[in-house]
Amino acid sequence: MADSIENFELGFGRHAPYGLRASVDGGAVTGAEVEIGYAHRGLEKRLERTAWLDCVDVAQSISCRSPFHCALGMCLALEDLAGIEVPRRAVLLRAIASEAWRVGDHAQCAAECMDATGVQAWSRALMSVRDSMRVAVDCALCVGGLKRDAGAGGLDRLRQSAARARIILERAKRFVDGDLMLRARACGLGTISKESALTWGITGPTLRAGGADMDLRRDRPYLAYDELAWNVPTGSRGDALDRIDVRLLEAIESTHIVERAMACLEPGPVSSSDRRFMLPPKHEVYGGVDGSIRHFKISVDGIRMPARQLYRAVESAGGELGFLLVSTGGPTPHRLRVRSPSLAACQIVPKVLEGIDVEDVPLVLASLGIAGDEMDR
Amino acid sequence: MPRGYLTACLDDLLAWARRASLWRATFFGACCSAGACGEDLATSLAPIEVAPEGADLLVVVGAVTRKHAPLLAATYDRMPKPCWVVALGACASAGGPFAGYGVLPGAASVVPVDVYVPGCPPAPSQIRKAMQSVRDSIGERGLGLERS
Amino acid sequence: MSEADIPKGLVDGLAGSLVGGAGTISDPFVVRCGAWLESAELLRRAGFAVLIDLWGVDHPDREMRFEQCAQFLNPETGLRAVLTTSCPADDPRIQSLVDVYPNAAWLEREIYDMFGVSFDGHPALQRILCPGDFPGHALRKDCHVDEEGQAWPIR
Repeated sequence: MADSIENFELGFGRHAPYGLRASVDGGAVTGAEVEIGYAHRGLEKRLERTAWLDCVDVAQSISCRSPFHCALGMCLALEDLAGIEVPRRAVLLRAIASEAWRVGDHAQCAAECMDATGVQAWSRALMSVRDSMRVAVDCALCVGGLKRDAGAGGLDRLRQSAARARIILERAKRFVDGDLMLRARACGLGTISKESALTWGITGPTLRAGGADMDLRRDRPYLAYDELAWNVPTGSRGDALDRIDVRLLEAIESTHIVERAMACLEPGPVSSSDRRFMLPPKHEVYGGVDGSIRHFKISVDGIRMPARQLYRAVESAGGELGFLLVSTGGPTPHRLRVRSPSLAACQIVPKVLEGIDVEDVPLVLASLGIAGDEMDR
Repeated sequence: MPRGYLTACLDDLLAWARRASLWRATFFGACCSAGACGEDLATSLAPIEVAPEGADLLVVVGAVTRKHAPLLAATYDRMPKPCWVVALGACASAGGPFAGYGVLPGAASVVPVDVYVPGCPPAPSQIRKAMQSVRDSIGERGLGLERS
Repeated sequence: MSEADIPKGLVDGLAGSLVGGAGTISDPFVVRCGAWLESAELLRRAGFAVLIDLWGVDHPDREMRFEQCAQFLNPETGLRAVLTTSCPADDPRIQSLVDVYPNAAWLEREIYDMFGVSFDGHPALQRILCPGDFPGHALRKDCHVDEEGQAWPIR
């Protein structure tokens, strides 16, 4: 006798839900349908009306899980378009912030997996890692670099938070390795093989859990990733346990990258000296006529970017987060497409849930790390 | 203590009971900073989170999109009356920065909101103040007054 | 490796349908609308097994108004190829890539939702992001549903 759960809506953690309708027979899911769009805020349309320099701030609201990676991807795309070179110190600070946010995002995903299995203590510990990393990072992105330099105190705090995060993450990994209950539940659950992941366009930790050694930070390097030595953890089976493992290992690796990048930091400017595509600094605006006029013209008329089409992707915590920019030489983008890694992960949900017990559905979904608002934009 | 009877106004007794035992249902729209408010919600004056069928406080967090609006209305309908609604954050209060076709200009377009909490994300002090306003307004509403 | 290393055999294979381009994002392979599926199949056979993204662009000033682009990845070599085609405003229809790349299903639904382009052969072409009663197609340049004053009932 087949039961059916109609309009059973799931929201994981604290981000936008997607609708899931599953038909269940004897406790196991026989079929599922996913409906998305509940967090569709029309950001791509909005970005078509947004002045170039403001696009970075709007990009932050694309994803609640990784606002920094969204803003970073947008910055890199705009700097590519404008042909701006970012100073070395800003590049390293961006890399540090990017990895710090990755630690937080992976910790949150692991916390949700622990929540789904009922291990409340680890869920809280990992969420505290996320909170502390988010608070410790102070990196305000703008086109051409950063809005302000990170103070020495801020960097020390971040170093301490990263060290503390590493301790908790390593303990969490030892727990996951040793806990028989968790392993019994998650091993072999919701398997996505490497071939399956590639066929469905899935990237990021879910793809690496299946054994694919693909990471944009290494394969198409940006920021300073090609100069810093680090590893890409991969799994072998592609099940929920591998996905949790890969995320924890990546987060631990990210704490190492943060330290190595901090060791390479040298004093210097954090903002490009190329003035064509940036607002003039405040002392010039208030101190002289040229700066004041330039600020006025940029604010009112907007900046015109060269007419080109380009695609720039970053490795966010969920996978390849890409920005496709089409510029026709106007003050706003003609088309700005956001390639969300969560869309691919959500599309495979009906296939992954087939045959899964209903009690295990939350764990499988949490291990996929789907960010609803990034998917819907 | 001598045996006897306690006489009080029924409205006051019920309001006192309701105020002290607010059970919360949370409705998450598209919120960029929902995580930041999570702890504050839990540690403020409505720590118990339940399904809408058993809640008397609905907290709407984040932007409510047009597609999500019928579900918000359905969630409100499932809650036993009287109930109170808090719109948490700039998006739930007034649509936030998302003026456009996707997002409603505030949760008030769909459900009757009692307390608006501004901010993106709202500061912990603002959330506590909002919860206090809810408790105060519980006392003001008479017994059996239904909301349409 | 750069995008300029797209295998010559691929360019030759596409030659019949290829109108121009080098396969990079700034200079994509341009194919005729009728050869869209065939070109994608050719790319699949050449090793570009992953459909990274599929998107549309509205050029209201062109006769072939709706441009459709796809980005493919070869997981073995890490190369990426970009394919693009266009369809006219009075008959916005393109062949669906679902049989070749399963993840095209939702990507094509999104293009249908945002631009109104139909996909022949798509199993379930319906809106994905906007609600079912949304008037128009949101990302078209002449769609102004978000301007104030537009009456679109709530609930």
